[in-house]
Amino acid sequence: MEPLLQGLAATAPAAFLKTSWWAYPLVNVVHVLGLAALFGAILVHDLRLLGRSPVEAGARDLAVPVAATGLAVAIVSGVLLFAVRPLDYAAMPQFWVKIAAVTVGVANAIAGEAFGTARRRPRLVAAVSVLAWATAIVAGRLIGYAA
Amino acid sequence: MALARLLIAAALTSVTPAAAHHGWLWATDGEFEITGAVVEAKLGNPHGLVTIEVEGERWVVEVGQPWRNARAGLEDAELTPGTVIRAEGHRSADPAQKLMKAERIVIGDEVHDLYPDRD
Repeated sequence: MEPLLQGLAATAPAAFLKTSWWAYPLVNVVHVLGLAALFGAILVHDLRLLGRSPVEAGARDLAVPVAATGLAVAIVSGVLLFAVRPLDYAAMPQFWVKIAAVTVGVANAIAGEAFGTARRRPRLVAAVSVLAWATAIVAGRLIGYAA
Repeated sequence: MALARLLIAAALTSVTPAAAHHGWLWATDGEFEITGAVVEAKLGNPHGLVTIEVEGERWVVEVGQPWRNARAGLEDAELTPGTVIRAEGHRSADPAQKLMKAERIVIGDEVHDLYPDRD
């Protein structure tokens, strides 16, 4: 794994972000905006699953598309941020907790929609969703404190 | 409307004292300094870390991001292994942790001020 990570750190975008005055903070902020959009939108969707919304659970509006877009933005920017110091991040438990939480969040969303779990067990899907994404955000923030 | 203006004014005037402590809360208030030879320098975004040897012990000194170091005239090439530096700033509040955050890095006669606002 180490040579792979070292190779990633040596790529042009990673090397550029490592020294750039403006690009690193920009990608960092884009990452935060992406996760913020994801979390806010998914909360609205989950509240519907929990029956706490005047809007029906199956309603098709912008909640899921906004969440999906936020996730895509967060993943692309996240990969870029990771590439700047891959060996450091790969050694942090907080990082792996975050990846696991994101994986659970995505798997739960796919299961909810594609396999109908959201219809059969709406409260379970909603609870897993909120927990997974909140954990991802907390773990992600803690990465910043682990110099 | 008046309440909104009051809240905005309060938020803006509270930024400066908060900014003065942001990123330093894990460190002690008192000024701290150590001098030693560079063992390793891991520079670049998001954190620059310089390991120095001080009386047989290894200390980690947090320096700035590339933009902060450049503003202070501190170049990567000045932090090669063996160079003796004096790091002035604040140490970790945890007595067992040999970690400090530098306000100034002194190499020879040159003082590199990383946080001019904190002097």
